[in-house]
Amino acid sequence: MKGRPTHDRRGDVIVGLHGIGRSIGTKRILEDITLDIEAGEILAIIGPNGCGKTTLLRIINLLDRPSGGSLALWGRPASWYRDTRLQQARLRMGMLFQKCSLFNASVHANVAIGLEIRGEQDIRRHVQQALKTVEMRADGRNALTLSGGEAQRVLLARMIAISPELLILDEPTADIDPLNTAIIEQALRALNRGGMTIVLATHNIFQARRLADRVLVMNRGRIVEIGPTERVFARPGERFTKRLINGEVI
Amino acid sequence: MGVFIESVLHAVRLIATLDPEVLSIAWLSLRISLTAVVLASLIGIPVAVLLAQRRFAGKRLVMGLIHTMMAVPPVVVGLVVYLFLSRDGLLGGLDLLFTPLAMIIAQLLMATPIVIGVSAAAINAIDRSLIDSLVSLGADGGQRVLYLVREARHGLITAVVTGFGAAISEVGAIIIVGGNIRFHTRALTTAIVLETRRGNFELAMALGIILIGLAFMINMALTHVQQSQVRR
Repeated sequence: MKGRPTHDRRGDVIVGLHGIGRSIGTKRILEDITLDIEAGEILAIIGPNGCGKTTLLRIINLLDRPSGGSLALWGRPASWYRDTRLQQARLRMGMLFQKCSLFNASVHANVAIGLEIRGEQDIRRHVQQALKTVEMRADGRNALTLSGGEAQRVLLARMIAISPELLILDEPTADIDPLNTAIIEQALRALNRGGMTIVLATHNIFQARRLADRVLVMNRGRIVEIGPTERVFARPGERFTKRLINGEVI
Repeated sequence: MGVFIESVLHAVRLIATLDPEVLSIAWLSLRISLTAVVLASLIGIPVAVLLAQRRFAGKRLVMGLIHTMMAVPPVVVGLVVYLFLSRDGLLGGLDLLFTPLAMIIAQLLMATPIVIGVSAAAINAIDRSLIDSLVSLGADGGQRVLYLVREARHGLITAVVTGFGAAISEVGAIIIVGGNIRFHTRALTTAIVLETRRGNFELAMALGIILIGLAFMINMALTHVQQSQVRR
């Protein structure tokens, strides 16, 4: 057993991005992203489709490398995380992808995967607790037979089971109904209260407003503005943010 | 239709009376085909995982060659193995020609590219998001392979079934390298060829029915495993 993570001290910078850029060929996906993510906060990244939200999340999760700039995780530069250190860093994070990543296996097996990888003991208990948090149970169903909302709750349970220090979510409630959305948001709030840092990409600005401590607004791979949620929604500092909040940008 | 019914009755009679020659032929067929397909799977599935997971120069060429090997006529495989194992061949000193082992080698050479090709297709079909998910969860190389193989299990069993089908139904290669020697290297397919040439159509058809019955039983067992959908 590799031990369950302890959460970072609230307010510590656990992710630091400085001048991050990412290009594919001649296409620039991200440009000059500078941002600190503090332990214990919920940061929502909002912006229109294709603005670079997913790419930014993948860079934080060390899945993609930036083309430029520097990234630090838990006070160490990304270059420090190689081989086993890279794997250890990933064990401190959890990422819920936009595309449903369920295996052709039972609900229990799908939730247990992260625990199995970590060599955890008492997997059954952790799985049951995690499923309970998202108001589901391991009933032997194949996960591929679940509805969209249930599938997303199972994926969130997979994350809850491993209790990461940093939870990264890419559009966790896209295309699911309000009831499932409410269950997921409730679970996220509970996790955050327990000290988990959450970075959430969403194009549902109402969700960002409901959940986040801070909001990062992105457009065309750049940061438009970042600030406390109430301030950004009450007094947007940029015209683009105002248009986004007013639903004029999709 | 009369010949067919007679053949079915003959097959039942041969099985019911436990005809020693038929049992010997059927057992040899099963033994060489199962051995060949088990070895082909042990070689082919790891190779397919590597091919599907790794990027390297010449990958397309390798896949093209494997796909070509899947279509090579058995007689050509038999001829190549014969030349290697014959007295003047590279492996002539091993004295394997006209033995069941030579037949296994021939079937192994035919089944392996099939297992690799079908398995690689099954692993390639796994959604990229599942692989990202495993990486993101911190899975090391071995764990990733384990989960991907588990996810592709239906396709991998199809690969084994297809490889077994090619092996047990094959005649061109094993008749060349085995020699169709009575009570030694006579398999069901080679016996069918022999009895058909002799004009013993009833016996040939009866052997054919036994062959299909054996293939059916093995495939049913593999299909049962394949269809066991949910794991805990």
